[in-house]
Amino acid sequence: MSHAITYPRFLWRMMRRSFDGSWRFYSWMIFLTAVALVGLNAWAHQLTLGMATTNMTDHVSWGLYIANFTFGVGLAAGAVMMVIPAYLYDDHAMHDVVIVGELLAIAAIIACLGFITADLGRPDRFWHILPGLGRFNWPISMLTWDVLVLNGYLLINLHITGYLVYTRFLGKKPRRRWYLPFVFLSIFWALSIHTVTAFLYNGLGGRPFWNSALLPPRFLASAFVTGPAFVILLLQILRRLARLEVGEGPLQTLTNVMRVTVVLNLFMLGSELFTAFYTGGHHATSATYLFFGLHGHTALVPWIWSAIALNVGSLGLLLAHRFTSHTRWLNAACVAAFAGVWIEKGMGLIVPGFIPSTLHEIVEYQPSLSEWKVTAGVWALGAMVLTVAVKVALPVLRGEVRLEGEAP
Amino acid sequence: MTTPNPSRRVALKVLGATLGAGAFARAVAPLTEWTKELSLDAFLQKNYRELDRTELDAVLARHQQAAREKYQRDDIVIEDYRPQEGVEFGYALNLSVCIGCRRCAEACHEENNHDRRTHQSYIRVLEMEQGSFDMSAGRVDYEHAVPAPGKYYMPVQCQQCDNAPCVKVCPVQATWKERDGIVVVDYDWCIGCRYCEAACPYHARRFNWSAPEIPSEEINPNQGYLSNRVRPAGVVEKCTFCLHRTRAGRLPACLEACPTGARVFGNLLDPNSDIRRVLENKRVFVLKEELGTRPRFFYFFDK
Amino acid sequence: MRLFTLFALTVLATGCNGRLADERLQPPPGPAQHGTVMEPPPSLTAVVLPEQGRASFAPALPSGAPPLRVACGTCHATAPERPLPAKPEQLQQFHQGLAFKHGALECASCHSVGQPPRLHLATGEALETSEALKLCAQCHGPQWRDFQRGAHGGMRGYWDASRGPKERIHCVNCHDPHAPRYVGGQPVLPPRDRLLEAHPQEAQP
Repeated sequence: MSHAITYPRFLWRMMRRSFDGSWRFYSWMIFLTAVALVGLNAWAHQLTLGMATTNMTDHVSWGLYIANFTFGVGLAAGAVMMVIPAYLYDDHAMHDVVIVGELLAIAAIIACLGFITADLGRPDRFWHILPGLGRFNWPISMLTWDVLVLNGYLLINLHITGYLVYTRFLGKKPRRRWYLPFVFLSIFWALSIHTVTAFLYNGLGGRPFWNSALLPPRFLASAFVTGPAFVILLLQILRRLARLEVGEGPLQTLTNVMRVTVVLNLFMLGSELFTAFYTGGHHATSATYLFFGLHGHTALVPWIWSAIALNVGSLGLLLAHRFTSHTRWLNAACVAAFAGVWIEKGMGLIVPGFIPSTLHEIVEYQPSLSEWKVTAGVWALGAMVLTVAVKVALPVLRGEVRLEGEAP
Repeated sequence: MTTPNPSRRVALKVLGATLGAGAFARAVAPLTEWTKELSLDAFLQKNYRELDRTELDAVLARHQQAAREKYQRDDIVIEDYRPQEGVEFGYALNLSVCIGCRRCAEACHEENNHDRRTHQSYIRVLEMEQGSFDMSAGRVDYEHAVPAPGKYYMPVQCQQCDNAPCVKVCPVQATWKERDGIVVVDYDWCIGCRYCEAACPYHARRFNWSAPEIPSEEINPNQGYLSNRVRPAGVVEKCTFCLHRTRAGRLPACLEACPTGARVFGNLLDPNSDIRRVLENKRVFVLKEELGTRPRFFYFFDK
Repeated sequence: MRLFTLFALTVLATGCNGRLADERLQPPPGPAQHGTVMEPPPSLTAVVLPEQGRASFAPALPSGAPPLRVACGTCHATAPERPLPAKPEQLQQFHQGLAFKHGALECASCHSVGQPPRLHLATGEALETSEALKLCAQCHGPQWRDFQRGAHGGMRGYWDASRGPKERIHCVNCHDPHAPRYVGGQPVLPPRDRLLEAHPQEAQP
């Protein structure tokens, strides 16, 4: 049979399966749909009334959306921490579950694109940024690089996972030359997406808080905290709910990765803070504001200290083997690290870059309810993509769903 | 849990799909208001620099028509003002003379059809401590009589940088530097990502968080496509040295409003211009020179 | 880095050469056809200050009323000539309450006795009141130089002298010659942050 017939059939079957499942699946999807619709509604209001529904200002012109975008890119890039052991170190146990990381990358990138869309004042003019159609300011604008690397990463991962799932659906053995080069490409590409995202900020000379060469390595280190942390939790959930066979091997590998990256992340944060505070002067004003408040403005102080507490807490749990051998403590460490980095990269990095402003005015920022709704909605969209992707892909890879056999 | 029979299952799915579609329609309902303001012509409109004469005329006519209808004013004229050959603009500000009265900011507010609710203006005036150049010790919201003892005043607006960070970062080339040195924005092309706002070291850019509100009788009817026409919501704007005035040979509105003559404007390429004399004879400096932005806005002290 | 920037800028520059930019530039400024136009100086004779001693003939002014401004000729066209006192405090009848804060000058340093009232330069050369600028310039050289170069004193009109005149104002529009320190005033239009505004509420569906 030619692919012209089997591929549409494959897509059809996958679509059918994504609308079919247990009551657990339905309630989870209904919940996510509800959250996504609340977000969509808030976004519709935002478009109609203008972005005055957000709490952003000309002083703090990026807020919760871009913070979550940055974090999401890290999550997508962090998923590569499963690909590296699986393919570079031939970790066979990891091989069996690496697809989860790639699907996570897809979902995270889609969420990122959602955040960018939500942050645009004129999403109706999206075509202006399409290469060839609009006026794509490449290679000058780092944002155009980000468009390229993010969409490229999305395509690469769609290709790898799509190809593997499709060949298993056909009951064939995947041919290495059709996916292995892309796997290796995806490793470099994962590094590039977060590096370019860091370049977005640290290339701006007018923002001393971001204008540090350490920002890209910090981004990568924190990405390699969140990626594994999320995957460790996800694998356990899938083991229970989706009959994914996960041994202790992959969990152990990812825990080891986290042991290193949490330390690295904190070390680099410490280096930044030393440079800022020991030197003092204007380079330290944002950091002072963030950690201690400035002239009575303290909106971000609770955020950053929570992040520090979470990160240090997770480090403590991870370093004590006594704890990580207990799943409960490992999971606590993962949740703490994930939340810690989420705060540190969002409210702790994007927002203080704008405070004080370039004219040294202090205008504070706390997200509005509308922003929280849209943000929850976009994450719900990402979670839906991940749920459906995992639900569709895993049975095929296990050989349960095939072109021949199993009634549709 | 028992598996429901197939027909019940289908019925449930249809019900679910219907409810879902209804909820979706409800969620996006506010968009009907938004889409009313969109048109195919506007959607397909090309970047300003790609428009030919006929297309540009059509765009100008469409905007002018819409503005006249919206504000019920037949005197509104929207024109395309082009740079002059042999002209590059420069602006200098005398910090010894400025008294911080903010009349420049007010003139900008009125001239450039800014939103009235937010007191929007392209100019922010910093009240600085005498003997210090520490902007963090300065403030913009002073309300006492000026000039106050022990203070000096520093208005900041777009510095029209030659190496403009805002132009570099724009992903869609919606902002660029024109031949006379003015950095402009095509309000019809900007996608509202606000990267330029993050990149600008001078707080020169403003975003339209909502559509500007201006009473009809306060509209300045002489409007430029690239300058003071009323901006749509969701796009970035900035000071254009009042190009609808300056490209017609006139002085910028902020300069005319200045009661003390702290502001000097002119053609940098004309050796006899006021601005050249200031640059050649005064102790001139630019803001944040270390960033390499090469501003065309200069500051100087008399004493 | 520099190479990259160069490359980048080239790409940017070529990208910029759209049709409009090349097609229609306005012609360069032509030869200067317009000079500087001086706005007439204001009438400065603030002779009576309401809260201070009043001239005997002056009508009672309500407290807080603005100073009375009268053109010099109103009185001096008919009044007999008298010798000038050294300081305004010595004035017995008119110009009483004139606050004088202008260095060690005396009335006769600038004013001449005569009909119609005039000013005079340090050389003794007579000067019309509308020419007061030159009088100020005698001592305030740097300010006069800056004024001529457009770097001091408000102006309106055209930067391009081929298209229109530049309107200038006199020293005395801002500086009272008897008390020249610039008085200033209340600032206008304080900035208002968007967040201080009532937040637009999401419309109820």
